[in-house]
Amino acid sequence: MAKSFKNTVFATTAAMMMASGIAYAEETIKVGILMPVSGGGASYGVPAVNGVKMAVDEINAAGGVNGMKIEYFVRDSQLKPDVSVAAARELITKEGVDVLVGAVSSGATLAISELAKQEKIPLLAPIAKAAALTSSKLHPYIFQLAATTDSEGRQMADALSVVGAKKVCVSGFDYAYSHDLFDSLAKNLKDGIEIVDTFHVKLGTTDYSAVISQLMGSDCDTVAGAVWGGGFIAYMKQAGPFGIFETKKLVWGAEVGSSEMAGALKGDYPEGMYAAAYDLWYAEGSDAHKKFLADLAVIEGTKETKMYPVTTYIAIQFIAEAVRKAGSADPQAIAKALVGLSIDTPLGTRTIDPNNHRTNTGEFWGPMVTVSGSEAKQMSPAEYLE
Amino acid sequence: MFSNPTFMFIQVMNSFALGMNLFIIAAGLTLIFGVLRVVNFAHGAFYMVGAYVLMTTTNLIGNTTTGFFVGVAAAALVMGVVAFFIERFLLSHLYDKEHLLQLLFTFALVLIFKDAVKMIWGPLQHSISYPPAFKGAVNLRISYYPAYMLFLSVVGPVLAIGLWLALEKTRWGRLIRAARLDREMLNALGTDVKLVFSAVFVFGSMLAAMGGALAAPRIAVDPGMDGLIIIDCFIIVIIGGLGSLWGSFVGALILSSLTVFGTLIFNEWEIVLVYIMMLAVLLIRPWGLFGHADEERH
Amino acid sequence: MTNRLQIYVLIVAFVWLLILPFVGSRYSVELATQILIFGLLATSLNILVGYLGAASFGHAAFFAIGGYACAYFLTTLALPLVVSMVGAVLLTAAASLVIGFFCVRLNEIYFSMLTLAFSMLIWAIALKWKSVTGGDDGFVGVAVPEFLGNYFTFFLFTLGVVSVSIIVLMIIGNSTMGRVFIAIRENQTRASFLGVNVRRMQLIAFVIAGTFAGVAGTLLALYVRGMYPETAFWSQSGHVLIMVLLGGMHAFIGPLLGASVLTLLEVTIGQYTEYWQVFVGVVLVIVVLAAPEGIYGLVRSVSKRIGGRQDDDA
Repeated sequence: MAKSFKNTVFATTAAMMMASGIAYAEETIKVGILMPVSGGGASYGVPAVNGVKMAVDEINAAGGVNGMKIEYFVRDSQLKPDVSVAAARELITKEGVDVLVGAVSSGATLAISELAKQEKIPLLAPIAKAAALTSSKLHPYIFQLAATTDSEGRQMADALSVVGAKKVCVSGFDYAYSHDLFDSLAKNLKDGIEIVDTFHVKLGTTDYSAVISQLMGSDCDTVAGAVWGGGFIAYMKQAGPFGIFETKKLVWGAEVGSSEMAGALKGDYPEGMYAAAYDLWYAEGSDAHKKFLADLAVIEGTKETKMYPVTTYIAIQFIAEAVRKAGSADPQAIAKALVGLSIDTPLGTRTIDPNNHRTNTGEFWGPMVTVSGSEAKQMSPAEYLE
Repeated sequence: MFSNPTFMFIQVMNSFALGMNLFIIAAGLTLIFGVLRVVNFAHGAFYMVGAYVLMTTTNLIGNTTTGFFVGVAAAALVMGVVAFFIERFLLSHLYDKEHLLQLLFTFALVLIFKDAVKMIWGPLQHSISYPPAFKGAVNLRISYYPAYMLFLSVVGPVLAIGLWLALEKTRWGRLIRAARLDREMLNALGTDVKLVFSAVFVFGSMLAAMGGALAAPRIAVDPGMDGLIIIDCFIIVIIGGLGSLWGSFVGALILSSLTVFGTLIFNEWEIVLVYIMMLAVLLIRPWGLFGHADEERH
Repeated sequence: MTNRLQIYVLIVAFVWLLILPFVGSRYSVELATQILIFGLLATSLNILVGYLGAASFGHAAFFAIGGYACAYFLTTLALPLVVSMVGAVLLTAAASLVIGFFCVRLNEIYFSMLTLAFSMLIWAIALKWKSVTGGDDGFVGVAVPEFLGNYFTFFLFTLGVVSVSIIVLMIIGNSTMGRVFIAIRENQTRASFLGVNVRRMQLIAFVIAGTFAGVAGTLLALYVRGMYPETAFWSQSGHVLIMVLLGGMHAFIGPLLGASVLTLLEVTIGQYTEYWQVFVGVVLVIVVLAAPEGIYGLVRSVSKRIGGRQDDDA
């Protein structure tokens, strides 16, 4: 009771201050972060939060945005849509966040997006790829910073041409992301490449032996995969002994070219597999990218930094720039400013397309090969594709 | 596809190896339920701990075949010690209370273990290599087959027979079987029931951890790996009969066959098939394929 | 299970909730909305757990069916709110009649496992029946009517629906039927000797519980503005069962207390640390060991010790 009373007083005071137009130096830009930081999703959520922390610390150290500091609040989205929505509501109504960043799974992100639309609070989705977010469910407050299945399918089609595939088997988790990706892939195939077989597995399964045996029996020369995360690790571990890596070429989406995956699988990572990643700690890039990686290495305590921090780092960069452009941290002003906004990121210039609220997010693509002095395979040569 | 005998043979092998891994985990659950009458939702968390302990051990002493076996033993041992303390200081105080409190307690354990694992080993996904001795494939004449799967196919039956002999032929086994049937009687005979309960909980938890360690090289080790395994275990012990060792053996094989062949035949609807199977068993023969009808009344 | 003290508590809580949207922050109102929905879900489960003595591990199934049906009627079929909600609740009642018909044939752990199996089947169907449920992406964007569009009216609407439901459940609990349920819990054989058709009464209790879980589900769909397969998953059923046991299954208001405390605990700890699970877990262990009758039992025994007064607890 006392607390809610205090909140009311606080909210009223804040409203009065805003109404009287007094800009206090200690006014902050409040950012709500919804990431899975417990359970199986923590392997994505915890690094993603590191990216937020790094960007916020940098911006605040440089004096903030227009004199305003950024303050962020992390809530556990648990990969569950209803929990994510409840947490987002709390962030909006209790902490009074001006903008949201999240989540990881498409379901949770779609759910928060619905709330963002209703509350008129901008939501930046740095990781979820569901095309529906910015097609059938597009609204003025959702901005999809992740690569989408449209661009990923195009890049995958290119990769299949590069490796000289002819007959392709596709294999992914049986859910929206894989279906969208392979639809996009089918549209972009060229050089007479064709999809001959589809072998899906249920989402979250740990046994891939049935599908692997099916792959062995198919006459495709290349497997285009989209199983991600822990599923990818299990898939590769179980496929290896069957000798599949020797008989078929592999092209894999879903950012399994990350140093996390290569570092986990080490010698069990298939040699020469064509894979993708948002960021690579060993990639040769711009000075901005080098600086980003060096700073991230300090936070993570290792120079072999993870892939997800850059996605949320860029999200915070977008927010800061939008506030600068709008001249205020008002949610609706931020949303307006984000449309068509262009910023310099560690990975080049990113622009939010005013028509579909997507960005030209690219990915590193290349073959994963053994390099001397490292247990983990590395992408070499790594090419940045948009 | 189904006319290809090699393909079918491989799939049968796949089902068996997967089933054996599941059996080891489910055997622990069924044993604990059979004697303590506790539905242990934390069994999946114990399985997870096993995988992580194996990881730490192989990181410490090297990923050799010996290291692997030491790791599996360490997994069982560490979990056994933890389970001993859980049983002695917490769970044992709940035996004569409402059954549902035990359930609430195991739910609480799930929450605690999930965070504890993340605190100790971090949030990232890990992979443990196969032990060198079972790394590649074995030539079975008609096809190459992963050595580790063959290893699981041997470990499962060996463990099943070992457990069965222990239950049938040893004094402890007789006590456990007696406790399963009538704990008051056992008490009257002057046996320390408390000790039997403690031993069974520890041993069942060790099986979970061992199952987790044995599963680890084939899958990703992460703080969410306990989520679905517990449901798989429930399905197995229900199909086989709560408390029945051979029931869980057969139940595990039925589940793994449904998983493997269901994927081939029904593809995406396979997921529904498993639950329909569980429903069918419960409705037609609720005490399971190997359980006894009278146990329903406990 | 209901006594005068509990009724006072309910009245005070109701009055306080009625005032809350006028004096409290928007956050407190949103939180109260959430607690009301889960409080109703937990109370409905307690008809089975506390009254009948049958622990369902699959109560979330009916929560999900109610929610999905409401979402579908309201959005896809564009039916009016009242028709959608009533339709969804009737559908849930029908589903709980069918599922209950099978479940009440079994007792104890087998009953629990059967409810678990049915709920996982519902989960799998929600995941796969894409044309109706939206599959794994969920049913996104429920067409909530204009007048429920803001938190203030939505809270009052929720308070109304939940209050009426709670009163109906309380009346049922205190009726002859409720006493028959308790008689079955105490001793099934004796109840049947006394001429009670045990199985039929169990089925009635199952349908009542399922139906009101469906009511809570319709509110959830409106509150979240979407429905997701996770709502039917076993962990959701477990979560509700925790609420019931935490609050106290032998008191009518126990589940309401449990839902309030657990929700507040999770939300508050989640604001300070990503390790909220271990805290909630430890609290639950302490409750199990120190307060086996739940929070209500603890409060009662403490107040008894202080006041030395006996209550007419049924």
